Amino acid sequence: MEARFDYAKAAPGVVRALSGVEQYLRTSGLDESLLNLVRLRASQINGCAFCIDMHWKELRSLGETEQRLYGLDAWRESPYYSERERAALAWTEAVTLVAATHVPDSVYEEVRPHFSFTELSNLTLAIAAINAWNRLAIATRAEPGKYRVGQFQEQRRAS
Amino acid sequence: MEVRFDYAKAAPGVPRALGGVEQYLHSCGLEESLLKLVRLRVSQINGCAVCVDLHWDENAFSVATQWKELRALGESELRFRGLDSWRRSPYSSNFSERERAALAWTEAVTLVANTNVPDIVYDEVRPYFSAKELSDLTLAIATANAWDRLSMASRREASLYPAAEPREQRRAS
Repeated sequence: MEARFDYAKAAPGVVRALSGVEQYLRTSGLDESLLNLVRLRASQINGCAFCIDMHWKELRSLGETEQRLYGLDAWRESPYYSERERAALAWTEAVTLVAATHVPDSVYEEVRPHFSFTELSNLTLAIAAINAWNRLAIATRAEPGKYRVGQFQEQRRAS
Repeated sequence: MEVRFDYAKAAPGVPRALGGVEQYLHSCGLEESLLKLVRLRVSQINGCAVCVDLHWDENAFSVATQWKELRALGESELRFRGLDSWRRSPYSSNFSERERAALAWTEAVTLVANTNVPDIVYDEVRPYFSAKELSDLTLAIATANAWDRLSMASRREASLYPAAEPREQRRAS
């Protein structure tokens, strides 16, 4: 499957702009493991192969178990995610599919006890950001599979 | 409908971070009118009342400001009134071919979980935009989607559209 074009080469400002959002999220205090579960789940919903590959690799490098990775798209039926993770995943699904769900009260009430408003604002931005990356990768048919953990930090340091 | 929380107060870094992306978008070379059109269409698709209200307003008044005539305000209203039926005559003739390509891309990219942005749309759109422009346009669509998600998830209050008041006067009040 061929890439349509390489958006990072065509418009490096696009990568810089979105990376600025990720840089802010790294200061938000939200746990990296939680954020990566959220990113993986959003990428599954949107069908972004590039991002799925990137985020399971990130999660493994953080010590995530195979069971929790494989079980993620049936998290509701699975006992191995914490209440806070379940809340974050419910929020991820509702916010990712916003045109259909409009993020209903039932989900908000489920999620609210587990996150402060600050955390929920940051979590919503994180979900919005992965949705942005998913759209760029899918729209350009970015070639999945070659991601190496830490490669974007390397690129940032080199630039 | 009650506001859930004000994300701008709870986490000022959030609008600041997205504002950084906007800064890039407004200097990337894409026409402001195209950016505003796309922004409005995204909010219509997602059903974001705040955003539709805000961007309808921006579109109506920015075009009127360019034309500087009251009658032009009426014309611009007509142009955007047909936006959700842009594929259909007579509204399709209100938008250039490049704008129609951008709108097709907007819909496919916004609803990516359903559409997967198929080849048929890509082939239709690609002739109108360079790879750089299409990258920038995709980011613009993704960013509009980000703002919608924040507003809708937090039930941000939609302002009441002030009828027929010049923008400068509203800013002053």
